[in-house]
Amino acid sequence: MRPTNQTKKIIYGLVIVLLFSAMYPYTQWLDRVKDEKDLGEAAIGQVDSGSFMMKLFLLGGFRGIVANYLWIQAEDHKKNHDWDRLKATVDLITKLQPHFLSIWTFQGWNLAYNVSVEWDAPEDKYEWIKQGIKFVQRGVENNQRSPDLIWDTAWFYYHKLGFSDESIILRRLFRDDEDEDFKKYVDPDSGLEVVRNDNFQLGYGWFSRSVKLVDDGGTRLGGGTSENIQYIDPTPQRKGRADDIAFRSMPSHAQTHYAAALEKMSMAGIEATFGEVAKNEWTRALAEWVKFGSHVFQSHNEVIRDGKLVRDEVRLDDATNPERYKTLTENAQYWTDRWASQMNYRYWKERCEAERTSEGVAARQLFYEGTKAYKTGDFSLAAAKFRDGLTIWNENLKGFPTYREDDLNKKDTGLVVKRYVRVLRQLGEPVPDTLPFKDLLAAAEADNTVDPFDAIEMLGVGAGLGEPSSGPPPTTGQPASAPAAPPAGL
Amino acid sequence: MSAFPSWPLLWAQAAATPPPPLEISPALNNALVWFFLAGEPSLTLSGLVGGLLTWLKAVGLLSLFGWVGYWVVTAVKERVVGVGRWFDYLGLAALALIPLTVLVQVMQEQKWVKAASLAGVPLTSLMSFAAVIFLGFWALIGVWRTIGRLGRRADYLVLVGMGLAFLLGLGVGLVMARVNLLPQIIGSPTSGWRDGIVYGARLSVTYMGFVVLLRVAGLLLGEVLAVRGRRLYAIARVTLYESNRKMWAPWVVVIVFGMVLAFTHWFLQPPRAAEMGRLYVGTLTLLCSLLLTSMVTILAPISLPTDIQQQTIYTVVTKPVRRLEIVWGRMLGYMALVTVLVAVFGGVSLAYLWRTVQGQRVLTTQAAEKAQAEGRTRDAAQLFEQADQLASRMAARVPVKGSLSFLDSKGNPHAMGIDVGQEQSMKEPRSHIEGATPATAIWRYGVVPDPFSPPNRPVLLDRRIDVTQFLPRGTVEGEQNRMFEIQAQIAAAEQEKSQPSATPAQVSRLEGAIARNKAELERAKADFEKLAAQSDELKAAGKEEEAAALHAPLARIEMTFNIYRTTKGEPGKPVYAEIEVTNSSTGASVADVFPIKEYYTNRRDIDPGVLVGSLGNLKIEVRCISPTQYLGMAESDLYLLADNGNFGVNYMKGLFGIWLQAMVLTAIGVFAGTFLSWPVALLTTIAFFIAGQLAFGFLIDFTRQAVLGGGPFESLIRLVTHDNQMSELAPTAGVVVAKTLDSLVMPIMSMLVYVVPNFQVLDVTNTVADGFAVDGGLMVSNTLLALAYTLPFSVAGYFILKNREVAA
Repeated sequence: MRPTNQTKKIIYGLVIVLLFSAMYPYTQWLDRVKDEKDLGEAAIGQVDSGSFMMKLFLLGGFRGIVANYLWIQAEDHKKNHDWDRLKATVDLITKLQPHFLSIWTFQGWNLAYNVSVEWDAPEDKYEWIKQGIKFVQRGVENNQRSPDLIWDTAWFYYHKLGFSDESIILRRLFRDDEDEDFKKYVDPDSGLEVVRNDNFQLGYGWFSRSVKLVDDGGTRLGGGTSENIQYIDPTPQRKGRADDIAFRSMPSHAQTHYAAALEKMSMAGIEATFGEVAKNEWTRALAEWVKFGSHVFQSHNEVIRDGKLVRDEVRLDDATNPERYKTLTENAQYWTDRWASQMNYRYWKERCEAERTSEGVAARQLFYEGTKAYKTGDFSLAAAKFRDGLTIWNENLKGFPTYREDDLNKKDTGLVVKRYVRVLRQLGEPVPDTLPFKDLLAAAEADNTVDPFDAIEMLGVGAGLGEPSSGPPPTTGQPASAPAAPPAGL
Repeated sequence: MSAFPSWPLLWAQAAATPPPPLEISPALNNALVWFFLAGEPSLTLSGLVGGLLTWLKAVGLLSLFGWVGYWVVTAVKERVVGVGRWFDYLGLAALALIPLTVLVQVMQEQKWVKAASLAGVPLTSLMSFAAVIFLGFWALIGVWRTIGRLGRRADYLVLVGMGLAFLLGLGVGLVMARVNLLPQIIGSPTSGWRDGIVYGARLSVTYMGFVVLLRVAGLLLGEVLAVRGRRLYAIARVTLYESNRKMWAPWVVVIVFGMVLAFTHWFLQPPRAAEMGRLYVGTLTLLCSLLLTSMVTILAPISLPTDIQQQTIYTVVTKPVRRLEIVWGRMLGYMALVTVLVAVFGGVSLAYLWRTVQGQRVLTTQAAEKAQAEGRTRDAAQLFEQADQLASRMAARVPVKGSLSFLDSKGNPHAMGIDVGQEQSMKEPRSHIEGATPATAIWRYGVVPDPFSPPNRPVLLDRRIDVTQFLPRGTVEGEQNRMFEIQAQIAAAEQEKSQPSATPAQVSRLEGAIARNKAELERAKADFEKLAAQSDELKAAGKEEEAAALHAPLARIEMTFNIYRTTKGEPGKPVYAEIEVTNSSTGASVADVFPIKEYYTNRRDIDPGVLVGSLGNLKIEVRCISPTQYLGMAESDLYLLADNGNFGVNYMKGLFGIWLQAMVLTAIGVFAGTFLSWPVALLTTIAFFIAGQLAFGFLIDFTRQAVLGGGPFESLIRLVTHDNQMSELAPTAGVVVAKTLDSLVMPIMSMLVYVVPNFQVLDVTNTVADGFAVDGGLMVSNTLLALAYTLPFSVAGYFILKNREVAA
C-alpha cells in the first residue's frame, strides 16, 4: 500500500521534530567548545545584529564573494571621488567581516588620512577624520581584544588631529565638537569615563588603554585558541609586542604634547593656559615618562650567567639615575643606554622636570605675553616680558643641562632671544652684554621657520577666532552694470 | 577573430587594379547610399531614426533566422532533408568546412602553416565561401520542398521575395563597387567586384530579413486586430489572482521592503548630513529595483510552464482566446502588479525619506543655529552648508548647461585646461585653471562652436537659454527682454525683405509681420514703462519687497569645482574664484568673487537684468584668483538653475525606470516560459537580467573584439596555466584548438549584444539621487528602448506558443 498524504505529513513532521531535538544537545556541545576555545562572537567583540542578519542572508558561503565585490566597488568609489558612497560601501564590508582586522585598519586610515586630505576646507577634513576615528572605534567594539585597533584609534586622535598642517583649526573644531561620545575615554588611573576637549588627552587615554590591554595579557584571541587552531592566514598583531618600546612611550608623548599645547595658542582663538593647571599637566607628563622608564624590558641578547643563558632586565629610567646605572651589568648598561638614546628619554624626562617648575611655567607665560605684545607692536611691554622671561628661564635651566643643550629648546628659546633683540632695536636700546642665551642668537637669525602648531605664529594675534572658510570674500561683487540702452527707434 | 567579418579586407587585398569608375547622377548616388545604409548591419544614423533603423535591421535578421530555422527544422522533422540524398552531403560538407576554415585561419595566424591562396584569393576565403554556398543551397532545397509540401502561397511569396532581395543586395553591392562608392564608405583604398559581392551579400541578408519581417508583420496584424480588451483583462486578472494566491508574491515583496526599511540603521551607518539624502535615495531605489526585478524574474517564467504541466492551460485554450492574448494578458497582469507595487513603494519610501532626511535637515539647521548662538562660527557655517546641501539634493533641479572651453595662463584658447595628474576615471574628467593668471574657464550659451571640433570646420552646438524661464512675462525684466526680442524679429524681417531674391509675396508677408511686431513692441514698451514706474514708486515709498515682486527673481548659478593646491597657503583660508557673466548682445555684465567650497554646490545669485536682451546668448567666465592654486572643472560643473522642481515627482520618474526594467523582464520571462520548462525558463530569465544589468559592458567589449586575454576557451587556458592576459601564448595544439573554438563562439556571443537589453540605461535613479530632474526626452527614449525589447520578445513568444502543442 502506498502511504497516503496524511501519513506522509506525519512522517515528515516527526523527522523535523527528531532533527530539532538532535540539534539541541549538539548546540549545547558546540557552545561549550566555543566557550572553551574562546571562539564565540561575544568573545571577540560585540555581537552586531545587522552584521548577523547580513551573514545569515548571504548564507555564509557567498560572504567572501560579496565582500570581494564590495572592496572593488569601494576602490571605484575612491577613484570617482564619491567619498560618501565609499564610506557606505566600507561599512557594508565590515558588516560582512567584522573580525577581519585589516579592513578596520586599512579603511579607517583611508577615511581619516586619504579621504580627509582630498577635501579643501578644514571643517570637512575634520569631519572625515572624525568618520575615520569612529570607524576604527567600531572596529574596537567588534574586536575588543585587539590592541592594534585601540592603538590606531589613539594614533588618529593624536597624530592626524594634532600634527596636520591645519592642526590649529582641527584642534579647535575638536574642542567645539558637541559630540561627547567622540571625546570620551576611560581614565587609566581612576577607571572612570571622562570627556575631554583636547585631542592629545584623547590620544593619551586611548594609548593608555592599548598598553593596559597588552599588560593584562590581551592578544587578538584569548585562551587556548592559538594552540589548537592553525590559521591559514592569521592577522598578525602589530602593536604591543614585548619589545615594542615605541608602543609603550606613546601615552607619555601624548601627555607631554598636551602639556606643551596648553602653553601656546595651539587651538585657533583659544588663549594659552598657565599656572597650576600647566604645572599639574607637566607633572603628570613626568609621571608618565617615569612609568615608561620603569617598565622592565628584556635585553635582545642572551648572556651566560651562572651557567645559564639569560636576558638582562632593562629599565630606561636607569639612564637618568647614575647610582643605579653603575650597579648594572655591562650588557644591561649597553641596552639601557642604547634604548634611552633611541627614545631620547633623557630629553623628555628632563623637559618635563624643567617645565613643571613654577619658574618654568612663569617663563613660558612671560614669553607668550611678550610674543603677543611683540606681534601687536607694544614693544616696551614686549621688552619687559622677554627680559623677565629670559632671566627666569635661564635660572631655571641651570638645573637641566640636557634640556638646555637640546636643539628643540635652542630653537624655541632662540626665537625669543631674536625677538627680544629686535624689540630692543626698535626701542633704540642697546643689547645688554649679560643677555642670557646670547649664543643662540646667530642660529635664530638664520632660521625663518615658524611653529606651525601655534595660531599666533600662523594666523596672528586674535586671528582664527572662528572665521569660517566660506566667510566674506576679500572684495565685494560689483553691481550689475545696466544693460545698454535699447536700440534707437524705441 | 572570425573569418566572416574579415572577408571584405581579404578580398580587397586580392583585388587587381580597378577599372575607372563610372559617372552617375546624384539622385542615383543618393539612392545607393540609402540602400547601403538600410542594408549594412554595422552602419546607422544618429538619433531616433537611426535607432529605429538598427532596430528594424536587428528584428528583421532575427525574423529571418527564426523563419529559416523553423522551415529547416520542419524539413528535418518531415524527413524532407537529412535522409541521405545528394544535397544532404552538401550540408554535411558545409558543417565540416566551417570549423575547418576557422582552424586553418587560426593556424595561419599562429604561423603553423603558410597562408595559401588560389588565383589571388586566400584559401580560407574560398573555403568559407564554399561553406556558405553549400549551406545556403542545402537550406534552400529543404525550405523549398517543405513549403511545397506544407506551406501556403504566402510562404512561396516570401521565398520569391527573398530571392529578389538577394539579387537586389548583390546588385547594389556590385554597382556601388563599380561607381567607386564602396571604397569611399568602407575607407579601403582599392576595391573591386569581389568586395561588391561580399558587401552585396551582407546587404542582401538584411533585405531578406525585411522581407520576412513583412510576412511576420502580416501574420501578426490579423492577430492584433483580433485582440479584444475584455479577454486581455480576463487573463490579466487571472494572472494577478494566481501571483497573489499561489505565490503570495506581492505580500512577500512588501514585507521584505518593510523589514528592510524598519531596520535600515542595521545596514546603513548614518552618513554625513550633507549626503544623507543622496545615499538614502540611492539605497531605497536600489531596494525597490532588486525586489521588483527579482519578483518578476521569478513570477513570469514559472507561470506558463506550470500551467501547461498541470494541464490547467486547457481551461484557457479551450475557450475562444487568442494566443497573443495569453502572452499579452499575462504581461498586463504582472505589470498591473508591478504598477501597484511601484506606487506603494514610491509612497512609502517618499514618506520615509521625508521623515528621515527632512528630520535630519531640521536637526542640522537647529544645530547650526545653536552653534551660531554659542559663537562657534566655523561649526555654524559648516552645519548651515550641510543643511543647504541636503536640501539641494532633495530637489529636482533643471540645469541649463553651456559649452565649456578654456583660456590658458597666457590667454590662448584651448578645449581643455591643465591636467594636474589626478586619476581621471571619472565620467567627465576635470581640467584645471591656474590662479592669478589670465587662465579662464568659459561657459558659452547660444549657438556656439563645439570646442573639440577643428577651428576651420566648426561643429555648432545649440546651447541657447530659454530666457523666459528666467525672466517671466509680467515682470520689469521680462517685458524689457520682450522688447529686445521683438526688435530682433523686426530687424531679421527687414533684413530678409531687403534681399534681392525676395519675391513680392514674401515681401508683403514680411511687411505684415513687421507691422504686427511694431504694434506688439509698442504694447511691450508700454507694459515695461508702467511696471518700471510702479517699481520705482514702491521703492521710493520704502516698500522694497513689493517692488522686488515686480522684478524677475534672481538668476541662480550653481557650481561644483575642485581645488588643487600647490602650496598649503594660510591654514583655513579658502581658494577664491571670480565669476563674470556677460551678455554679449547688450554688453551688460555682472561680476562676483567668492570662496570655493570643494565638493559642495557653490551658489551665486545674479541680477537677472544681465539676461535682458541676450536672445539666449551668454558668456560665463570663471577665474581662480588665489595665486599658485588651481581650480578644476568640467562642463557639467556650472549651470544656470532654471527650476528646483518637485522631488516627489522626480522620485516617481526614477521608479518608472525600474518599472520599465520590470516590463522588459516580464516579456523575457513569458517568452522563455512559452517553450521551456519552468526551471530552465527561470534560469534563462535570470541570465538575461545578469547579462543586461551587470555584464553589458563586457558584451560591448565582445562586439568590439576587445576582450583582453581572448575568448572563453583561451581564457580557460590562461587560467589553468597562470598566464596573464597580456602575454603571448605559445602556439601549441591546445592553444590552436582553443582559439579555433573561440573564433567559432565569439561571433555568436557578440550577437547577444543585440538581444540582451541594456538594463543599466533604463535605470535613472542616480540622477534622482543627485537631485537633478529626469529629462522628459530621456524618459521617452527609455520607454521606446524598453518597448523595442518588449515587443519582439512577446511576439516571439506568441509565435512559439502558436506553433506549439500546448495540450500535449
